[in-house]
Amino acid sequence: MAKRELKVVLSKKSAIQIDRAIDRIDPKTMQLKGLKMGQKTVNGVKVPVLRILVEV
Amino acid sequence: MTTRNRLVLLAIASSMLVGCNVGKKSVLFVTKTSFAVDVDTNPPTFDVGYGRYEGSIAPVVKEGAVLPLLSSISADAGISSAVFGSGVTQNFAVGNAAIIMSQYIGEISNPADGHRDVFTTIIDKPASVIGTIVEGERYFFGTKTSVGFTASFAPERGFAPDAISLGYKRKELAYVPIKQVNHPTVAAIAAAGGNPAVIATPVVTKLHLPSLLATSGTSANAGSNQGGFGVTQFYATGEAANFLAAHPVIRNSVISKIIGDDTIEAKFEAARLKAIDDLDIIGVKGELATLKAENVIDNMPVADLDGALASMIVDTIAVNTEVFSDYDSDGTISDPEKRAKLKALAFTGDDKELIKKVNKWVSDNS
Repeated sequence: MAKRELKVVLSKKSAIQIDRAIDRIDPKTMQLKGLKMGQKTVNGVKVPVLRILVEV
Repeated sequence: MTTRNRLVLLAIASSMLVGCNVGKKSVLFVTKTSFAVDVDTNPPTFDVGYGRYEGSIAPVVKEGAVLPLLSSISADAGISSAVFGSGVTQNFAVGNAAIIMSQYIGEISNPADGHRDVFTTIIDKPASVIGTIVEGERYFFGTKTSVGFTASFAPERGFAPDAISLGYKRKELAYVPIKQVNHPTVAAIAAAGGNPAVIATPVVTKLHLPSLLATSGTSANAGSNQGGFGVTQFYATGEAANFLAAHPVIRNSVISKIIGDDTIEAKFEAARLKAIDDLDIIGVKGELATLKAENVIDNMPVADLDGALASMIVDTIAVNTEVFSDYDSDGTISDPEKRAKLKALAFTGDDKELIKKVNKWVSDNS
């Protein structure tokens, strides 16, 4: 199956958060299933959140 | 001529213009800009009187539209540059020139090669609006801006400006006839077979008002090598006003300062940082729960591994069809592979409910 990739420029904080999340995924026993955009409401303000979906 | 006399003359001229035929079948568009300078050496001070008049008298067609006009000025430089005009940029346009200048500003002001072809569809014909002139129907739109600017200099610091005071006055006036136009309703057009040329009843009456836009912004700074005074003004009517008002750069430079866009940005940034902190806390709790579970799994007797999977299914940490995985695809499931599967199932991510379940499972199996 052919491989494709998309790129998005991140802020420094977001890059650190994503890097730490990816580090927690063990490639031997877990499979990355996809990415989705969600949101988290903080003090009435909606903040976009990237959901990294993993299958174990 | 004193300022008072100038104002009287302007008022008299305006009343005469209103009474005459100017603007009935023609457009009168005027701007006047001045930087008046007063320099003193003892003490070293510098006074600038900035004044600008913008005004237009032109017909409003029966359907409520007006022809496009555009004028702008931008002066953002050191004091000496502004006085001698080297830091001043002005624009004065009527018709298609006003439409093109207002439509293509900012980052799209430099279109791709063959730029003249981009505007061919616009410049093939003169600017126009749909409608007919109604005798005597004119609008007057004018602004007067004056800024008294004073700077004092510090000889002991190389005559750098050390104090600035600014007096700002602005007057804006719009006198526009409102146009009442009858439009056929959607149902009436459908009943007439969708042919807009057929006069269809019933009608809905709408009031039309043309687009007029005038913005102004000033700034002053001192204490730098070239402290100075800056001003940016836009004046536009008709389609040129629509394009300027629709441009995000113009809106951001005006609207954000009116309603405090900085406040909205600050609230969002605060919420974003709190969301990061909240997720960090949940993430730490998740990692701690997973670590505890991994310790329990590492120390579990081989005979208890199948029962551990069963208890994870009961606690809904795993789905009821979950089985151990043959990770190395050698046809057998070894004890290390069973432990690896249990540890993977104990991975909570940032799921608060799953963290609680894994903590409970750890507590029940310790």
